[in-house]
Amino acid sequence: MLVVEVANGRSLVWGAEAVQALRERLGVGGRAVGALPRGPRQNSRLGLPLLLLPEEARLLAEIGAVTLVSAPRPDPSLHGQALASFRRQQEQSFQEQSALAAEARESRRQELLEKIAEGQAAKKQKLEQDSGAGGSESEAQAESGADAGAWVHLPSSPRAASDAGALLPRSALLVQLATARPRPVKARPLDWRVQSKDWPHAGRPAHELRYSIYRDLWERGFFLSAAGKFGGDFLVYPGERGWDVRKTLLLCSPQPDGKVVYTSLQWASLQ
Amino acid sequence: MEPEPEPEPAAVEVPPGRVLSAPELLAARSRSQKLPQRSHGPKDFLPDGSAAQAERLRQCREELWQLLAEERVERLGSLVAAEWRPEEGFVELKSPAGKFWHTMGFSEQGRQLLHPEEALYLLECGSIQLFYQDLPLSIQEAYQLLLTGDTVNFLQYQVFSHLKRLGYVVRRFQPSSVLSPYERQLNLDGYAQHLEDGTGKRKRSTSSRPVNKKAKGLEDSLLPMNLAASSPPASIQNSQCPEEKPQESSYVKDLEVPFQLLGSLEPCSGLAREGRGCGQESVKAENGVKGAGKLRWNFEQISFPNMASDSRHTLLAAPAPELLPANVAGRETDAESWCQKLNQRKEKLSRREQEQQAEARQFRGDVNADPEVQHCSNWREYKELLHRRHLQKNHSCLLHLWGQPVTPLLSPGQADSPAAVLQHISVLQTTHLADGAAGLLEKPGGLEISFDVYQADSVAMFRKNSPGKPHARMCISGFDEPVPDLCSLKRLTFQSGDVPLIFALMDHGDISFYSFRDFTLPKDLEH
Repeated sequence: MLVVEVANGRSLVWGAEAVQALRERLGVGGRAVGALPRGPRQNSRLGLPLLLLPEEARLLAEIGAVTLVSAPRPDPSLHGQALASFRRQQEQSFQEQSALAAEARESRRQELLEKIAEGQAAKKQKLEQDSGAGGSESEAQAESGADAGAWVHLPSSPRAASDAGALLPRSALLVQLATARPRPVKARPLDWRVQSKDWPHAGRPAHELRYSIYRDLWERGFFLSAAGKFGGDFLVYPGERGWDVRKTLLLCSPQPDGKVVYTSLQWASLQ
Repeated sequence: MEPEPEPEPAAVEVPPGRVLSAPELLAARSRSQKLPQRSHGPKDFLPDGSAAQAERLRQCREELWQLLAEERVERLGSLVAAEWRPEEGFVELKSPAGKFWHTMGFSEQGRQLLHPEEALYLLECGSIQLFYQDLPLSIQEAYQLLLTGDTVNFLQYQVFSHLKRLGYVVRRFQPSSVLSPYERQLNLDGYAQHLEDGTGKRKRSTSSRPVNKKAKGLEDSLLPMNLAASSPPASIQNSQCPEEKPQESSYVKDLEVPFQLLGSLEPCSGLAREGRGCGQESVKAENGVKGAGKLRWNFEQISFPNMASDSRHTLLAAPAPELLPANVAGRETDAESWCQKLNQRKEKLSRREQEQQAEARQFRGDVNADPEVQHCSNWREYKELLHRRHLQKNHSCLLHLWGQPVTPLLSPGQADSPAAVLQHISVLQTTHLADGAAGLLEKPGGLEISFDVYQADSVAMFRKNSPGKPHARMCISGFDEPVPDLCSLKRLTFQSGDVPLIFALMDHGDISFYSFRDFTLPKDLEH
């Protein structure tokens, strides 16, 4: 069951899975109004939260797909518990990250060792080829011996170092700036039939009118979004988002018997 | 299940958001930073059921869900710690600010503070970590806590963040930064600006300056007085001094008033202005904003002595010593002697005046000698006589036109060109939006100016303590609210001064910008 929090008449959806479910399963679009984590300084693609039209929220509640709740205030009695668990989680994350970082360092070093070994072997071969016969062989041998000796010494020192510096510096700790509230909380359900501070739309004639049109078009399978920018009430798409539509103007008026009458206007050239 | 305090239907459990594990955190750091393009291929007009279209659509959608599901992951060392203080309505920085301090935030009593909308924007960008009672806030909780106050609401925040993402510098509206028409007449703003640009020694006003220095700057009134010694614009200096001397009474704001003039001459103007900002603590600041703004002169409380000949006020008291430069002593004077000397100069020319006065006296004396006037027995008849004479003088032959209660708008000699004719006969006069707006009262709950917006390319030149004239000012409203009436428009335009006013209208996440343009219709179309 999806839960949507409502505050001051505004319904916001904070979970990405919920947004996906709403759009794919239920045909309700909403509008992303927050910054996108990957690119917070641009306006072409916005991220969570998703803002729902009052009509969208009401429809979802009516069909029972979503529970509307009043946005819960933080509970001071639970604060201590939350703080303790946060600190625990932070410490645990720190330990895990340090371990992972150590592992990553180790595996990098292993790769490096292999490269070093390859390099040494190639060098030795080159030396043997270059120095023909004679005393230089012994020199080369001694050199390679010395090299091998040095090579043997090499792994021991970094290993010691890696054991000693196992902990990450605090400033390198990665933290998550959570988008949605990271802990569960109890909230009061909202009745959209009743006017309240969080839901001032109930009973307003403008809202009722828009809602009846929205519901009718949604049941016919259209996809709707807000159109204040174009001077209308809704933008109607034939399917899901992704289509570009030639815009025609549609006048809708609900009849007393519940049906809706649609009149379409089209530009006609004067020729 | 914990027991609910209220007897209500079972409370709903809101599921928590995603918490990333350590491997996921590391993976998040190494994800691509580029945004995928919006559409794969040209846009389709109608669903045609083809597999290629379906595939493209599916790909678009997958990318979208992936993008939305990403969480913000940052290194602890690159985050600035900040704490939300609900009782004050600000966010206080606990660790030193980063690059954003250049254009955002303000300092007070040595603390670095951010407005709620600035803090929320920085949180969404991943620059700060916001704490409340030692627990870091998620973006959802921050939206709830910071945007429900009476300082900034959801709509205003949306406009703010939209403009910030485009790169503008957006500050809260400071009414004290708007010059009154009188100040503009005196060209005070241009003068201050010229000096600041002229003296190159201006230090970048960092708010990390200690408080003691600022307080000292206020008490130690000699600090800006070394302008008497420093020579730049000496001519302007001279013109300043006479202005200050006559200000003797009502020292309500006088201590700070000369600071504005003198402070603006100070090369390190940031210091004096911050000092004044401190001194303003007793003054109720709007919205709890205590920025450094230019002080508004309250001319109702500054009185100038009237030295004109009609009402003699010649005894001038000694000016308060703290208002004078260091080595200048003030004393009280009796300006009577000077006034007489001034009059003496006029008296040289007044021979002509005396002749004129004599003539006038003569003329006045002769009224009663006019036989027609003597015939008038009361004032009404006299006035009728004057009226007749006036008409005769102007329009001797057109009495039928001019003698009626309704007269023509124009007499033949009055206008010499079609433009002048149109000007004279126009019943409606051109009016500008700001006319008559000075006395309009504010309506509670009406539209208000929210933000000052500065151009994105001026970021390098931007100084928080002297931001200069904004590019535009924003009023924020929604489409479901009525269009502002003329009274509000006049009041807001007047409040905005000479900066254009833009109305940002929010409709469910879409912002449209509107403004009203003042233009004059041409009167004379042919010439």
